[in-house]
Amino acid sequence: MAGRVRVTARVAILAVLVAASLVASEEAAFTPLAAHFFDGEEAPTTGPDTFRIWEKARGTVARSSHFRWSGAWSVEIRDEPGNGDFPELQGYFQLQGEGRLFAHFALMVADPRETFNVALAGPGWFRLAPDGLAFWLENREDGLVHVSDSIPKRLFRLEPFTWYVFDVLYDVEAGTYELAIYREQDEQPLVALVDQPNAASAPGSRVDKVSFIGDRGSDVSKVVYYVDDVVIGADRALDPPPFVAPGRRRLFVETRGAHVGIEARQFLCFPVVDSDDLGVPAESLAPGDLARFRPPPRPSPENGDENPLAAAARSWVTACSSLGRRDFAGARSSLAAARETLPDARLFALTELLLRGRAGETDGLTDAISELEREWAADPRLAVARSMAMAAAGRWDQAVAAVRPHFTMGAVQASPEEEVLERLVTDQLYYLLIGAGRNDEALSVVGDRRSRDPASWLEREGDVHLLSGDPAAALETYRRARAAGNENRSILLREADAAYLLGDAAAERSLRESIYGSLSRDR
Amino acid sequence: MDIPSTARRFLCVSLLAAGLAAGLAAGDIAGADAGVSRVEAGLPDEVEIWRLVEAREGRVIEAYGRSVLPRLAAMYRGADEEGRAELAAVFYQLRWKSEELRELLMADLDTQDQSLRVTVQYALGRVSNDDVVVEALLETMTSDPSPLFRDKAGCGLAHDQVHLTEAQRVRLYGRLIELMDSDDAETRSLASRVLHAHTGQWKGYHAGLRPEKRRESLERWSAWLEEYESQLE
Repeated sequence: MAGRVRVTARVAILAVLVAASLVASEEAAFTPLAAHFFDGEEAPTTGPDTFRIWEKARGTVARSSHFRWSGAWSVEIRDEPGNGDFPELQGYFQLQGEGRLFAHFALMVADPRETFNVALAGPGWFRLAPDGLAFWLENREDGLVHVSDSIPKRLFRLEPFTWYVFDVLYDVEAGTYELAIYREQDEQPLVALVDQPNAASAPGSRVDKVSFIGDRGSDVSKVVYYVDDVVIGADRALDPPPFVAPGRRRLFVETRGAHVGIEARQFLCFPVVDSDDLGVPAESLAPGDLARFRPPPRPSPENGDENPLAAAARSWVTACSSLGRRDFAGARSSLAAARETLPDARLFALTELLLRGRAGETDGLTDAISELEREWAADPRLAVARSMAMAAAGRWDQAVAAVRPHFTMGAVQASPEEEVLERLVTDQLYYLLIGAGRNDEALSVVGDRRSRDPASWLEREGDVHLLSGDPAAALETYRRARAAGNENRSILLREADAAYLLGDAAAERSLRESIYGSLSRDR
Repeated sequence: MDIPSTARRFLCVSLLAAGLAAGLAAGDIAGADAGVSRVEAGLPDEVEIWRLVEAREGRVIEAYGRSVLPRLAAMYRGADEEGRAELAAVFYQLRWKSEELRELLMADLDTQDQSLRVTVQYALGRVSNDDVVVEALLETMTSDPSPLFRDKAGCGLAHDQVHLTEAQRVRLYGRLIELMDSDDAETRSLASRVLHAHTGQWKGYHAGLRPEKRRESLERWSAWLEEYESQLE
């Protein structure tokens, strides 16, 4: 327990220091966001709000009692070269976009010449970019470095089989951190740095994950190292939502349900259906011209002599891609180029409105859609666009009303273009009914469409059952979806929800760990 | 760490033909420099290797170990441009450092065949960290008559110099910072985008800014480079 007491004392001291350093007028507070000591009779719980294990090819991540900083266990991360990937322990915590984040962990490596990496990162994942890597340690053959301002800065050489304790205090808004590193049994830090720019020198870079891996792609590391006592905290009073199920603060159906995928596609480009969308006579289109308006964008010819329609198509597809990535400036620029070539393309005008919606510029959006409706008559794409604007404003029932007239029970589409539009409407209606809490109606829609694409509509039906509080029906339906050929692995997570609600802890764990991994194989 | 390669690849492959893009986007094979063959049955014949190459089965080829490399090199020498482009795409995936492959690819650095040329520009940094590779790509990026080849040389410098030592990386950054002071706007733009790809930073630089604003930013970059160089001492 001595190690644990030592850690607890250090955490407390740092919490006090963090609190004391706050501006006097602010209320001092410290909220633990994650604390993993890896002890206990059973291995700790993996999940979207705790941590995830990747053990690809021959690398492993497992609890170990051979070496630990405190308690009875640590985690051993073992990389193997030449297998095309790396093992990873990835921990999660509530996204921090302000204030200061405290990160503490203990680490020991068997052979300090082998490479491993440790990082704090945000929604941008592990890239040198805003919201990407905030804090990054890399152990190389010639020593440990931290990457600050995109520069690997030398720290020291680790010693084998020696515990080091790392304390990081990251100021999110300033984009800087303090770093203290202690060698075991030393009271004074080996390293004490202040005001270090974060990895990409990006103030405001948010963080929500911590990661421990082997090497990051060269695939030559044979590192074996141990991690213990991972503690993440914030210097403000926060009230993270409680865990509602093992490893998660929200059920998987709420974060991974099919409706969540549709939500992510709101205000993305609609498909081109015919020549009217482009504002050109039908006879003017050659075979294959409409297909140019499907991704990916085609290359421009080197000699610069390009069919203007092809150029417009390339610009519009590029704009759509930028829209998906929320690169609004890029989208606007590409869309402007497309509209210059085809100024009468009504679909480009609609794309402009979708861009506004995705950028959150919703003032006057529904009025602008109404204007287009006067030109287009009853095109379902406009109804879907209107429903997106309504849903974004939280007006779910009005959103449903906007798109409902375009949905017909039992409808059969005559052409591929009609099928595309029909799917657009049906997906949107399903999503809106869930958002409005009108689950019975959602079940009707699902039931009507199930025969056409059982694999995906059974998945949605399972979600509705789960959201409606019928986990038994959900479980049975998810299994039918998989039997019908649905290969979406996140169904397993929703089955985990259902198993949990039915009280089957073993099944829940097995299903959840099939995605999030497990530390239960102890060494 | 999940290091999403697809995001960084988008701009650099968006102008490639779909087949080539699909091949490159199939992902890297992390090179096993130890190169011990894992296939007990021996090396495949040329017909089988071509089948694997055309199917972009880099992982299967990798499993044979570096002992298959001479055969790949011989096939490259005897192939037409289309075949050499296919092989270069596999060299790209394998990431095996090889002087022999570098020489073969360098010989195609002047081809006007679009597919072969772009693939070679991408693959060179994957087979070598020889200084001539970086210099050749910088030369292409700044001087080639083709805007496509100039742009793709930049892509290769940005994403595919995987064997550079830290010192070589810093030298590359120094060259890029010099080029960001060029009189040519496209050169400035390409150089700054390559540097951004490596560092995630602009430091207030844009190729279209007025010279005095660019100079302020370049001073920041120069100071940054100085600090980076000090870390190598």
